[in-house]
Amino acid sequence: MLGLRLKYDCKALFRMVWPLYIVGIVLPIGIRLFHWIQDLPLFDSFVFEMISLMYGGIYFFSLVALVIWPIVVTVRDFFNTMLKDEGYLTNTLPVSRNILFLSKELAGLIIFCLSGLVLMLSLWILSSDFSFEVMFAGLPIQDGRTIGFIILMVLMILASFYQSITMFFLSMMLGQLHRLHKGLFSVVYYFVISFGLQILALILLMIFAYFVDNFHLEQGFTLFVTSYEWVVGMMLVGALTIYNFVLGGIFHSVGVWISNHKLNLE
Amino acid sequence: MSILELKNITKKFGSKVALDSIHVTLQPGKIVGLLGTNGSGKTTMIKLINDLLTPDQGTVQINGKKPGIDTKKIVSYLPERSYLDPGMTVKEALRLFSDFYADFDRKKAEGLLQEFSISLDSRIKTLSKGTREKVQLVLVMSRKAKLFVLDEPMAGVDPAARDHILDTILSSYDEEATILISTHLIADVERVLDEVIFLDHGKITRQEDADELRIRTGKSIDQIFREDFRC
Repeated sequence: MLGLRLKYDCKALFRMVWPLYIVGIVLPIGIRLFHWIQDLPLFDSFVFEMISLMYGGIYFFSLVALVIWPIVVTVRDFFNTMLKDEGYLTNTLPVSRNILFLSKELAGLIIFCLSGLVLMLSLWILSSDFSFEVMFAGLPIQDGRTIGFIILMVLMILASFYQSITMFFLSMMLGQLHRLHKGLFSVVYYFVISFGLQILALILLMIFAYFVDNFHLEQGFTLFVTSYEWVVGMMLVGALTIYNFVLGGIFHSVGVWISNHKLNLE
Repeated sequence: MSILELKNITKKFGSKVALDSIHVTLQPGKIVGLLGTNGSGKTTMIKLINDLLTPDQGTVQINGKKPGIDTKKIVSYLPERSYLDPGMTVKEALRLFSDFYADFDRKKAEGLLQEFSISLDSRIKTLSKGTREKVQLVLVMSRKAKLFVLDEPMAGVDPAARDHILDTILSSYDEEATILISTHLIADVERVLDEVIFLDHGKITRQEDADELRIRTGKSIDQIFREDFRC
């Protein structure tokens, strides 16, 4: 059932993101075209420069959108298909709510990864010499651990995304418990949970700072310069990944519990 | 075993009592009219049966089980609103139902859609409200479910199409199955009802055999309803 649900959820999300993918791929082609023709005397004008600048600005926003839009569509899809009219079908399918939630989370992650790939493709089109080697050139290769670090970073980004969307889902599940102003309450719950998480993060960072060997870091903590910093950095990224996945799991479980015991499609 | 049993169900929304300690038992093979004015608690009761709300008190049992995955396999539910993804085509909606409901008869659905002259390639968002309701009704009635729960199935369609819809409902279901049909268009459904439940301000005021009620009072269900619920 998870596979089936995932198919429908991915399809629904893809329907909302594909135009952005087209924009993300077409705009850098346009920028390259601008670069190519700007040296021609015909286009050597202030007006052309302004148009080129505006075009660049639009492109920049399309890149930002490629990161934000997957979150927006995932949250919007959850609201529409679980808590609005379409929820009357979704919630009466012979599928457990755990699977329904998981499928929506995984579909969000898949679309997020796809957006990441489109973003890289877009940058590659923009810059002829774009390469991953150049991108990661700043990282010192120590004992061949760079690949491990990159994998850990990707995992951390995915974990952060997972934690973000489950937090949105939980906020909406809490908001729907109220009879009136469900949307407003969802926003309030989101900020309350965010505030709680910031306090938790602060406490965890203080604990981290207490245990870390300050002697090795007293020259200033420039990550990954020394071997000790490398290890500490890896541990930090690893811990953040686990932290986000654990929080995401907790939010998921509470959201599923609410939908099983307190669903209020009034 | 009864197909549906609501025991001592109470549901409140804030201070408003939507259902007040109601008891309902439905036997297989009956067409039951759930009749009441607006705000009487009909939709709340239906949502409780379909696991869209949870009761504050009491228990719901469908075929001996609490609402959940197993009961959703045997209950075919038509809500009062449009619940299909507007971006889908009718064909995709059929595929969704075939994918998730083992008892869905796709050929039957295609036949019924043809009867209603609804194209499989139409997008849901391009259909009129009445046609959307017909598509949903076809989807719901093309299942071989044990319990059909229809919430205002004819509210959005023109009077001329109501008889056709009612005929579709009657011709589509297995006689062993039970249909719980909520409506305030009593005159339209009266002829098919085996049993009636009158709901008034969250309380059941009548639950009895339709024919017995008609014979005993010498009036139609519609007349009795109008007298019972006169403002």
